Amino acid sequence: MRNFRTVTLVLLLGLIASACGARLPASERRQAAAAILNGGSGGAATTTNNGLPAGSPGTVASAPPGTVVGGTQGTQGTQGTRGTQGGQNNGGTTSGSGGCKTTSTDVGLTSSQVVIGNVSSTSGPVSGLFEGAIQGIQAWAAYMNSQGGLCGHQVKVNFQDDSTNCTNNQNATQEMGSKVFAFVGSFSLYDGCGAQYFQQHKDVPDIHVALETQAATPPNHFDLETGHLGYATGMMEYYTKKLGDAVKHVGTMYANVGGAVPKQHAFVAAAEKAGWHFDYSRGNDATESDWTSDFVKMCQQQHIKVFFTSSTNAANAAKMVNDEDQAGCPKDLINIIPIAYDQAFLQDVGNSPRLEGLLGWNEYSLFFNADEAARIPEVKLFQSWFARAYPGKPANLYALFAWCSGRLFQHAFEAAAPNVTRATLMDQLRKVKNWSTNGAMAPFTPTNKSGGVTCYILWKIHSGKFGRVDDPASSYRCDGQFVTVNG
Amino acid sequence: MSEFVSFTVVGLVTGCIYALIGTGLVVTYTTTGIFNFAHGAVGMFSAFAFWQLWQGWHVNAVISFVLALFVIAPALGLIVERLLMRPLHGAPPDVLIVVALGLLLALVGAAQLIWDPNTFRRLPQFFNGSGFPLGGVRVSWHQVIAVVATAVAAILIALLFKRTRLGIAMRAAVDSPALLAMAGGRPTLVQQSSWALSSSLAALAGILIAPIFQFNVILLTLLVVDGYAAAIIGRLRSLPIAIAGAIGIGLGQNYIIEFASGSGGFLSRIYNILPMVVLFLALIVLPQDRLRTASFAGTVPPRVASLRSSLIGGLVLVAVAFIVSAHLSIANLKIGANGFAFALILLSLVLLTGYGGMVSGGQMAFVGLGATMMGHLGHGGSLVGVVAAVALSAAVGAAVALPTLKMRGLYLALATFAFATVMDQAVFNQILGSGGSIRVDRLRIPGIPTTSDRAFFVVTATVFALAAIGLLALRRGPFGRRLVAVNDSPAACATLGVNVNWTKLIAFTASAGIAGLGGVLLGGVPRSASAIDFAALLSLVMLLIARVGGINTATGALFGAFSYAVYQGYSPHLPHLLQNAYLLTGLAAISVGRDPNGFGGRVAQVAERLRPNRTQSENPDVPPQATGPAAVFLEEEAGLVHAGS
Repeated sequence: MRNFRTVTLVLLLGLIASACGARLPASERRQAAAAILNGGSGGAATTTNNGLPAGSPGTVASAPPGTVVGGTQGTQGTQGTRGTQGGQNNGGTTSGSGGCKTTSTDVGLTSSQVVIGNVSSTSGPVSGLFEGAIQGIQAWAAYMNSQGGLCGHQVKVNFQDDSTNCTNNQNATQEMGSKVFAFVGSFSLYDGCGAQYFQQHKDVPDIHVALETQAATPPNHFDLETGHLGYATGMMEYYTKKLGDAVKHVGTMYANVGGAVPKQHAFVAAAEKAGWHFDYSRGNDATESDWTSDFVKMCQQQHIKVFFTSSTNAANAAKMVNDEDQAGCPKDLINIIPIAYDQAFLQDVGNSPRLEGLLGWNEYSLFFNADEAARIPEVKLFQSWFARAYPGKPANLYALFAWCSGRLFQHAFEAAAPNVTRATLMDQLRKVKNWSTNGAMAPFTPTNKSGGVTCYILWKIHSGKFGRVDDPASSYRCDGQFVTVNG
Repeated sequence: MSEFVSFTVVGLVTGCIYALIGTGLVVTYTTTGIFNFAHGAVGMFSAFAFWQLWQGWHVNAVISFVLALFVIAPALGLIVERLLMRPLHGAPPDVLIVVALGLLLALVGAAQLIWDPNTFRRLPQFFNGSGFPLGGVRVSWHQVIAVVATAVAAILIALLFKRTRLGIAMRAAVDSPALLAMAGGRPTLVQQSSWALSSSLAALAGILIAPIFQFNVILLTLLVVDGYAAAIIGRLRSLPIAIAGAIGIGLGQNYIIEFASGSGGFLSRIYNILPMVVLFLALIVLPQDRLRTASFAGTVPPRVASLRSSLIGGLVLVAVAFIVSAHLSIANLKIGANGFAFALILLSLVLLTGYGGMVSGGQMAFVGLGATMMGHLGHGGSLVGVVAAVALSAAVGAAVALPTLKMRGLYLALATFAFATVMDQAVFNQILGSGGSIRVDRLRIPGIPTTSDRAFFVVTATVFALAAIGLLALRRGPFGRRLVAVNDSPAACATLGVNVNWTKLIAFTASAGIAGLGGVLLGGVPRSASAIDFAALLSLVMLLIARVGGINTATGALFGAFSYAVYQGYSPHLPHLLQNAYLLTGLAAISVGRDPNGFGGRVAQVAERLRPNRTQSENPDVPPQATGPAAVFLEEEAGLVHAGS
């Protein structure tokens, strides 16, 4: 079976390489192939228990400390702690994170290995839903192992798909809870189900972006996108100043599904606090994909000046932009669509003239932009290792969140060294304030249960590309206030 | 006024798309006698094949179109006819529904296997999406083609049916293939032609609709659901009325948007559910044609277990559950408890569909009501929550049953599916908590610590066992015999003074109540319930699993439910191919669903063979008795035989 998988993988790699070869030089393609086949190290293939091809990144990588891997850019350490030193570039010797050697052991932590758990939805009704999450954490693990491991511990990712099912999420969390050192980078529609385990086992650290409100509440949960109970006003206030009275006539659409509804309520509350007024609002069913009549209503009957959507997905948002054309909306209708920052969005929209000037904001960097990578080394590191681990695959937001979860875990682990246990790890996590993963994300405080992120960047699409607007070159705007609505 | 024109233009385009779908459904039904639930899946599959040719392999667009429409789609139709549909001639209605649903799931699974859902694909509109202004909106040439194609297809099909020998033969082949053969026709060839034509129509719809909506396996497959109402308005035979109905629905949806309040008011919510509301009303109001399928007559249900057997079986089940529970991991205990909860839900289908012959396509709506009530009123596992859950589900079941009592087979399945869809979109999504889910506490029984996974596992086993014993007792009793007789021949029962409607109403109400209790248990396993757990499509999946397990036995319900629960629990650990639940469930339904008695029936057959004393009818010395349930019931009522013999 494993041979079959390897052959299939090689064939796939061949296809991807031939299709995407223009993007990577031959040397990097070879390194990428080595990374995926040999656990990111060029060493021997290793065992896997996560359903991925043997030797894929994130399994116990076999590179000894100091092995050269792919000439990575290296990191800048993690926010002033005894952080990872990073590689030396271009095939130079890479020192591991040897400055934080530890000999302590705990559940899932031996003298040579640390096992982390990840429970994500990658099968079920929507096949491959959050595959990005496991890709992101595997890319981080491969990077860590290429550096000699985390404080000398090889990182092993124990992944389980919950098949988008509540009981499976609970079972996977429960099963892994007694085997892994911490849960890192999970992404599941049913994370509220697994949260019951964390409520009962407050000694098990959990670092991930909570989707269900219940998942964000346990004290041992550390979030990367805090703010389930509301939203920030800073970006809305910016547009109020910039667009004037236009924000008094806003139309909005959102997915009338589960957690998207409270998110939309939070958006609307923050926007109204910033002076926006919504003339039109409708939640659409998950199977709906034609909104022409909504735009006829918005544009011809209610004469909206701004269209805003974010509680939906990028594919829907792209279709909405096309439907504006169909409905005869005026050319000067302003689109503010934060969810549009997605590689598929530009392709989905096609050649619509409305793409030019489309506005939005992120609470994270422009993580797939080449220019952003040039400005923020962490983004370059993420892009580089993601491409090595999954050549040809587009990195999505879930991958970034998982990568940043890994980096937060790394930071706390290194800070806790030499006496690393679950308890000391969480002590360190509780000390983290305004964490930005070296600029890859807007600063947030992982333990913040009542407030949320108030920093952001603004972007605009120009000539078919996303670019920063009125932002600091490589950091974030931080202003406005956090409005609580769902408490 | 100008906006009214704009809404009208948009509504006409939407309506024509529904018409294209409805036309395909009507043609399929007219020429094959089967309401093809998989029509959308065939269209989706063909659209993806078209994309593969045109965008994937860069074959000329026209050649790709011709190949998809006239080669690939007809070939798919021929395969479906030969392998699936030909052996089903004269099968009961729920078998036809199950096999069509199986085909739907199998095609969705196959499409996801062939075309990775995570890879970006776009099917461009013809003429690159260019168009012209009309009534204040922009109409693309692609949409014009879709509208014209609908009209042309309708005209050609009407001509085919009325003016050609093949068209007449297609309709004749459904009613009586033997008669057609006697008249010199070739029924098999005619049926093949019908399926090829039906598949081509589905492909035409899929290829034309995909670029207008989203190029997504699930969305394209489900889009056809909105066309059901049009087909029913046309009473599954009239193309002009179906097209008019489709355009009416399209216009109605758009006028709702026009006249709805600006901020997500009730009317705008109605937009989503309008096609289903129309479907439900059309089924109630319009006189429906006699279904062109067989009834349950002819299928021989397994012998009903005696009180002694069912008591022993129930006790053994609980005892085994108790003993085994000590050795199961927490994960397996939860999978097992899920299995018993699903078994209870399937048991509700045994009563309704297996005994009563009423095909329900909306059972998960009652399950959802039960779980929701338990979540809201059953804090701490209070019995008040349980009682409220069962009572509300039963009451809503009765309310749904009242207007649908006259329906049977497909029509009832569609009406209940429409109800489940409305509940899914307009109710569960709204009330199941702001975070998308609510907490459902486990049923608390004084003196038993049901909060532990082991205890809850045993409790679910006990509840199922009690329900199964009760159901079998009901089946053996006067009401059960009356219910089976009503299923067999409502007319015969009515002549004897049996209140057919009352019998059906009680069965429907009790079934909904059992499903509500299933919801209490199902939510209690993870202590959580969310809207996605009660999605309308899951109701069809439940029907499908009940059929695979055996829809007229408690054993079948238990087998089907455990197969489903164990697969659900272990699928993440299976190889990638076997994780494709759509494909596997679809193939299981196609292969096993044809056996009217399913797995449970086979178990009963084996048990029957092992019995030392065979039934009277197998004794050559005993004169033959009436065979059909209605006949037996009538004889009992007339005192000719002893009840329960």
